[in-house]
Amino acid sequence: MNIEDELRGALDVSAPPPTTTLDVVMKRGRRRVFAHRAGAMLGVAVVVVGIGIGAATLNQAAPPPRQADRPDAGPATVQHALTWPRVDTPPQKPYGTWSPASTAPPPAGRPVLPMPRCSIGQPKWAMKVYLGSVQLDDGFVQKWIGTVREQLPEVRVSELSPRSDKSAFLEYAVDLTDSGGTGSVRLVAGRFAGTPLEYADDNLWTSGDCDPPYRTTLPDGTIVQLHSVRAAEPFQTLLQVMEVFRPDGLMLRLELANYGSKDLRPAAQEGYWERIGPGRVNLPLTEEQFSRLGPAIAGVA
Amino acid sequence: MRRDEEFSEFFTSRFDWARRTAYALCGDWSEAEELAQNAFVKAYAKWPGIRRETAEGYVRTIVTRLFLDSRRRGRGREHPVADLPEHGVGGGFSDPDARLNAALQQVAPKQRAALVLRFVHDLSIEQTAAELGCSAGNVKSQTARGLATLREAYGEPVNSESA
Repeated sequence: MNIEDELRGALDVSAPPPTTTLDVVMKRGRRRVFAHRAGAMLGVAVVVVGIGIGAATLNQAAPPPRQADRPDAGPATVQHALTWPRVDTPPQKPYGTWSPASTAPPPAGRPVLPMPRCSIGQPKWAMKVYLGSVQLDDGFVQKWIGTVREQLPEVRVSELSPRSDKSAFLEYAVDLTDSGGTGSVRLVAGRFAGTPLEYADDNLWTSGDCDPPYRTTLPDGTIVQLHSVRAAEPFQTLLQVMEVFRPDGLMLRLELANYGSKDLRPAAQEGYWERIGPGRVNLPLTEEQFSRLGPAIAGVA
Repeated sequence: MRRDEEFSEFFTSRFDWARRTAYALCGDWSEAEELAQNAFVKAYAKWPGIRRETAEGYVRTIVTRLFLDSRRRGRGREHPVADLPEHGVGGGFSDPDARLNAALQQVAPKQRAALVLRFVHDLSIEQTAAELGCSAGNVKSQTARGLATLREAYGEPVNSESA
């Protein structure tokens, strides 16, 4: 066998039928042409206006510059119900804006969320036991579900969602339902070998955040870190991650999602699931509601 | 409109080819479709300035660069271990197509791009360098390292033209 010959046949593989049509490509292409032309015209207008404003204000004192290492907290009128501060570190620069793939767009009528996208950082510290490899005993899982119900009396919390015995990834999920529909929260656990602060810092950007995450430290040294909401494929899935780093080396990762168990079905490959439903339009919990779960689960034995 | 007619003909004849090229690079049909579609959208926007005889190379360059950009930006790491897989998984390793694809995915993205351009598309070192935007020497080293990784990933001894 010749490896180069194998490569030469790499295009002659069985393939699923293409889903892209000429119509879609030409529509997107025309929008792109229009955007380029509009952008060029806008650029000229901005330069002209900028020169005018610059000339008018040339002799006025400039306002004090904003501190570069402080993230913009937004307009003063925005109120954050969550009281945890963000980690004091510069934000990441977005490389683009979320747009759904044509093969799995959000359902008709659901607006596309132009969320900024930032690089997903790679952790530098290895986990002692990888996330999803720690088997939590039934007692722990039931206590966790009880904690979720206790902390979120306003939300209907299901029993533990079914999981495949064939899956090597150990996760525990419950559906969360309110008048807006059903979403879910999933719990996975891992073990780390350093301090909570080292691993919390190491995971600042591993969820693709642009702004630094919110963080709180509990009296026993546990660090709870709440990341920003991000959009993902398919159907413009919404996800938000919260991490709990306990001093005993247990890391718990909670992921809030806008889809529930009814939006999943077992995939052809045993142990895997595939998405069949788009889920609800928003996450089932506000940041403040979700943040209640972190400190509460930290205390579960 | 003549522009649309020409583009339509080009799309009909070369979209599947671009999609298969993208699949050789990324190993995922869903992403390959997205890469190919984005490349053709860009080609449509620039179509009046593209000569018909170079259009194929233009699209291939866009596909390759979009793929490399996505890897630099971390798309390949976007769903690490904590997410459920959200689309189907390819065939088993008894399928030779799947086996080659799985082995290619073990090769680093830029080395993989060099292998695909050099051997799948049979481009010269200089043509490959132009498409990747790097030097000929860099293409040689990326190709050699890519082939070594690919052989190892295949898991059994294979002959090589360059061995």
